[in-house]
Order: sequence, then structure tokens, then C-alpha cells
Amino acid sequence: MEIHSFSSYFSSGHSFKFRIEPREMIDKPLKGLITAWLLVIGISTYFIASYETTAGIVDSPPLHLPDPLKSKIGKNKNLLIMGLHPKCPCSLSSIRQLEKLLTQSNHDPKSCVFIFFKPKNEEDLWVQGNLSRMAQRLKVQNIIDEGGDLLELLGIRTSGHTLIYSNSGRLKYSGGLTPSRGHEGTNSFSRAALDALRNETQTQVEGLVFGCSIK
Amino acid sequence: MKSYVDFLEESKKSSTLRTSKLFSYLILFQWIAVITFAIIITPKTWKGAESSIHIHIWLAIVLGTITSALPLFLLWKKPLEPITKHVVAISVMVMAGIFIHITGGRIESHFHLFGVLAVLSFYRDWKVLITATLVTSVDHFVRGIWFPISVYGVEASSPYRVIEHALHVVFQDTFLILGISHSLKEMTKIAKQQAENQSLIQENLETEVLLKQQAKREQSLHKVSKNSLELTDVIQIIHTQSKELNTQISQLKEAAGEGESNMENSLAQIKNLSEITNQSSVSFQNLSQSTGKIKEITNNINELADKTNLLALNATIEAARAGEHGKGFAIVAHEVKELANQTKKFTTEIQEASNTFTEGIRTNEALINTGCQNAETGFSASKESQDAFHELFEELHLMADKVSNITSTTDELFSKSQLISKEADFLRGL
Repeated sequence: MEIHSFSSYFSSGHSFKFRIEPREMIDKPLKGLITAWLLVIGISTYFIASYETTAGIVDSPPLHLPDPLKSKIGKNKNLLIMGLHPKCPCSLSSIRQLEKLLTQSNHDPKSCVFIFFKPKNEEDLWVQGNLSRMAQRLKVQNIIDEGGDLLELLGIRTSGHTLIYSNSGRLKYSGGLTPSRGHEGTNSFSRAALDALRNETQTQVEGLVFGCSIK
Repeated sequence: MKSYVDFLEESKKSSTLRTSKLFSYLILFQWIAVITFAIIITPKTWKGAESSIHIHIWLAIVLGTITSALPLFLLWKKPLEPITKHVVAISVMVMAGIFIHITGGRIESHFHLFGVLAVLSFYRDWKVLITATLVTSVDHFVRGIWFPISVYGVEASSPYRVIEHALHVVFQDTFLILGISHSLKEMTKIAKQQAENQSLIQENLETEVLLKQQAKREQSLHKVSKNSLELTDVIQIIHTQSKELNTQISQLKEAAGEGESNMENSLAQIKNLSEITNQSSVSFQNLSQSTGKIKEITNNINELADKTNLLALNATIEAARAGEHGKGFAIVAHEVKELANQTKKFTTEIQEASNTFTEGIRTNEALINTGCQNAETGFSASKESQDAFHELFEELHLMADKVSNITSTTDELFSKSQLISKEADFLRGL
């Protein structure tokens, strides 16, 4: 069945016609199979999306930078702290997002601190992995937090949780940088963090965090 | 002869089969790739020091397998069915989504989706692109409602964002559809050219065939002319022979007629003979009866002779008693005795002659009876022969009619074969 003529295109003068053939007959078993197949794909996609967008637990961080970290703060610079589980694959997206953020804000990586969780009685080698390698590449400061006391002090319970403190030690941002678990891309949280780094906002902003549980 | 539509359909079919094969490999590759990427990028999920298999592994294995299985099955079993193309489109788009997901939503991995869309245009079917676009649009639309942050990065997005995202795909679709249209036009053009070439080749072939047929026709006409002349000769021979046969049949008919009348005469004579022998048989029976009577008479004479002999003996005895006086009587008695003995002797001879005569009569009677039977058998055989002669006569009569028909038919054949020969000569001369 011809619906309508389509426009001629370019200079060749060809005319194009959309054609829809009479409805093709699909046998019943195949129709059922395709419907079931689409349902399985739809349901699976829904569950995956649900899992990916379920935010991790976030405790209230200290409004002022705790003493153990005051030495890390640079002159006239904001301090960005990111708590990480060294083996969390989802946090790769958080670090990539941070990398973009540093470029966009022109923030000095040396004013960034990655706090890696390390269980007690584990070797330092346990911390080594993709995340530590990325940290080295970014040239940020690294802290290995054995037992996770420091992270607990900062209220960080989910890998990728980022805190931004002002030069004066005041909390400006608390939350994640990714739109969902292990998924990078521009989002409202990263934009809020960017605003905080650029000192474009004075209000304290909170965002959701997506990643593995640190403890 | 094939029309350009047939050539076009063949070309489309071949293109679809090629593309189906390509997609079989692509889907397999995608399936292996997502599992490999999931294992490399996100093998485990962690909670403190404890780890478990990451959901991406299950996503790649379970959803990846389900998504790939149906199109691979359809590509194998029904590569030309239109529904297969749409299932393939859905599958590759979903797999592209899984791929984007597993690689952490990197911008770079989104190019895979656009690449796959371009490969889908190999099917040269704009509807397939629409299906693929719908998959992306529905995914973004549904996730925009329930999980907006996973698509747009914000917790609440404008419904128009889905249109913005879809437009990127539609932009590519527009050019791909134009490309498909152009490609289809090229295919149609080639098909028309093929049809045209085919008709030219066909025309050449037909001319060649016509020339060959003409040469064959001439050869055939020559053969027809030659054979018809031979046929005329043969017909003439048949005609002559049938005439001769007719004459012979007439002669046979006459002979059969004579045979039949001869047999009729023979039958009459056999009948007379049979009657005569019957009469002879009766006469012999009478004779036999007469000889029986003669026998009885000779027996009576014989008895009388015996009695006379006994009387002569008694007379002799009495003559002896009478002595001299009886001498003359004894002589008479002796003579009587002699006469009686001679009578007995004659009667014996008569009896013997009568017996011989009776025997002869019996033999003749038997012979006459046999002659009677033979005459009857001869009569039956002659009757059958007469009937056979009659049938033969009738058959010959019919045969003569048929031979006459053959003769007249051969006359017609002769004239017609001469006409054929003339017509063949005329056609050859054209």
C-alpha cells in the first residue's frame, strides 16, 4: 500500500516512495515466542535499570573538614575528597567523571584526596587495582584507610562518595558524580560538584551516590 | 522469460541473504563481546572485604544469550522472512544498549549504536530502521519515566528530552533511508538492464533457432518429396498386387462354389448309398431269418431220417424174424436205411452250407452296418466340408469386397502422394 510520495533528494531528481506491504502473516507460535522474548528483555532491562539507579547509603558528613585532613587542603583551594572501595568496578565511572570535572573546573589534582578503604589484616597490595592506577595517573593524593575509620568519620559508606570542602574547611558538596551505578555522563550531581569547585554556589548541595558498599 | 521485477526480487533476496549472514556473525560477535567486557570490566561487586559476582556478568550471560538466541535462530531458519529483520533490529539495538551499559555509559560506546543502525540499512528496508529507532525511543521514554537519572542525568527531566535523543537517531535514519532509496533505485535500474539484455539475447537466440528450423524444414521437405515418390511406387505395387489378389480371390470364390456344389452331389450320393446299405442290411436280416428256418427244416429232416433209420432197423429185425419171407422186406428196410442215411448226410451238408451261408450273411450284415456307419460319418464330414466351403465362399466374398476397397484406396493414395510430392517440390522452391 502506498502511503505518500516522499520528496526528491539531492540533485539526482530521484523520487522516493514509502511502501508498506500487506500485513505479513506470522505464525502463532512465532508470534508468541517473539512476545515472550520482548517481555523477557523488557523485564530484565527494568530490573537492571532499577539496580543501577538504586543509590547507596549516605551518612551525614561533617560540616567542617575534620582535623586529620586539614593538612591536605591547599592555599586558596577547595579540597575534593572521594571515598573509594579499591575494588569497586562502578567507581571507575566516578573517577572518569571526576577527571572531566577537574578539566572543566581547572582544579588542581593535588587538592584532591582519594581515601581507599582497606580491611584490617589485609596487605597493602589489596588496595592495588584499576582505581589506584587511575589515582596515580591523575596525580591525586592517596590515603589508605585501614579499617575505614576515617571514611566513617567523613560519613562515607558508599564508594564514589565525594565531598568538597572550601578553603576555609566548610562543606560545599556531598554526593556522587555519576547518574547511576557504574554509568558516567553529565548529570545534575556532577554539575553541582562543578559549581562547588568553581565557587559558583555558596549553598551546601547534596547528591545521590552510586557504588559498592565500603563496609 | 524473466521480467525486471523477477530480477529485482532475486537481487533483493540475495542482498537479504548476504545481510542475514553478516548479522549472524555480528550478533555472535556482540554476544561474545558483551560477556568478555563484563568479565574484564565488572567481574565482581564488593561490600567491604566480601565480593560476589557482578550483576553485569549475569546481564551479559543471561540477557545477552536470550537477546541473541531468537534472531540467530530466525536467521538460520527463516532468513528471508520480514519478521526476522525486525527481530534482528531489536536484538542488535538491545545488545548495543547492554554494551553501553557494561562499558559504563561511555560516550564512545554510544557510537556502536549508530554503527549498528548503519549496518541495519544493508537490509535496504526503511521499516527495519524504524523498528530500531523505536527500540531506542521506547527505552529512553520508559527509562525517562521511571529512571530519568540513568538517561538524562537528572532526577526529573522534561518529556521533550526523549524527542531530543530520538532526533539524533532520526537524523541518521533520514540519510540512511535516502541511501536505501537510492540503492533500491540502482537495483531497479540494474534489474531493468538485465531484463533488457535478456530479451536481446532471447531475440538473437530466436533468430538462430528460426534459421536452424528453416534449414531443418528444407531437409524435411526434401525427405518428404523423396519419400512421397517412393511411397507412390509402393502404392502402385500395392495397387497392382491388390488387383491380382482380387482376381485370385474371384478364382478361389469360383473354386469354393464348385467345391460346395460337388460336396452337395457327394452328399446326395452318400445319402443314396446309405439308404441302399440300409435296405441291404434289412435284406440280409431277412435272409438270416430264412436260413434260421432252413436250419429248423433240416433239423426236422434229420430227425425224420433218424426215425426212418430206427424204423429201418426195426424192419430189418422184423425181416430177420420173418426169415425167408422177410428177405425182400429186409432189402427194402436196408434201402430205407440207406435212404435215411443219405438224407441225414444231405441234411448235414445242407446244415453246413446253411451255417456257412448264415456266417456269410452275418459277416455281410456287419460289413453293411459298418458301411452304413461310414456312410453316416462320411455324410457328416461331407456336410461339414460343405459348410466350410460355404463359409470360405462367404469369407472370400467379404475379402473380395475389402480388396476392392484397398484397390480404390490405393488409387486415392496414389493420386494424393503424387500431390504431396508436387507440394513438397513447390515448398522447396519457395
